[in-house]
Amino acid sequence: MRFLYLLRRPPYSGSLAAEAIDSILVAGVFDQRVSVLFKDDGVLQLLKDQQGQLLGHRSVNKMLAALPEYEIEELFVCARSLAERALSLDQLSLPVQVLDEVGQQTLIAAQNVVMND
Amino acid sequence: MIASPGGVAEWPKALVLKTSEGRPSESSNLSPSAISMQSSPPGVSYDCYRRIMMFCLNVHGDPASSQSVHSALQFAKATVASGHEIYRVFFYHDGVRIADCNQVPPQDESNLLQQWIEFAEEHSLELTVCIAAALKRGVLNEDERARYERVAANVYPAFSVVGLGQQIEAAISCDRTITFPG
Repeated sequence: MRFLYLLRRPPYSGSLAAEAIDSILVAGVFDQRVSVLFKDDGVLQLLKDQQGQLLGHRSVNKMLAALPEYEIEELFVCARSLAERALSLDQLSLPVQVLDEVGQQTLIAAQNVVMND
Repeated sequence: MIASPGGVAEWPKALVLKTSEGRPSESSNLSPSAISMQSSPPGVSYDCYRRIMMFCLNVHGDPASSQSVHSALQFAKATVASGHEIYRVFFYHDGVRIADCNQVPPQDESNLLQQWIEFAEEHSLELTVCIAAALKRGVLNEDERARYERVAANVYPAFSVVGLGQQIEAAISCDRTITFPG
């Protein structure tokens, strides 16, 4: 089945982001076709050079770095969310595909399950 | 609340009319208006919708400080009243706190734990909390209390403490996965 995780929370707002990534990895273990869409403040999870330990957390970008090991390589970001935060792709820690609103609609419509954080 | 694509918001009117026939007393109160207002998608016959749907619910919000647990309960009641079934309710993130039997809600607020337990008993629902999320929030059943040598177990017995795999398995097994974020 096709699973999409729609991540919209910032990386260090409590443990929401970290727990969502745990769920993604388990979906990967279940051999589902898993993709992830980072949107709104969720795009901040992808930033390079995070130092989560300073906030008493695991670094979220390091947790996300495990996704390819679970064969989760379909990673998408919302173009508008990047633009609103003045971010460019070279500031992100993983290779991602940028989608506009129409692209996101198409992606979501193609899923069997959408999980959100 | 966010539904999976093709989720409840797209159901045709005919579905509610069909399934509510057998349960007029329940559905007259609880039939969700959001569902009954919709018409069928263009070119789709009502027939393909005329079956019982299996739902799983993910509940993420803290019962004391977010609306998530309450909204999920209302949705669950409406689901059952419409003739559908709930495969599993999975409490994750701060939602695991609903299983804490020590919570004492104010008398003039609804007792969500009590309401979930009664509803689950009545309809044989499976209530589950994520073990990893529960442990770090101090929500322990007797096994985990003993394993980590803590003072007291506090999970209400109606809740099973399970792994994240149960969340994924439910999503795979169900027609619709609905999440109630915190």
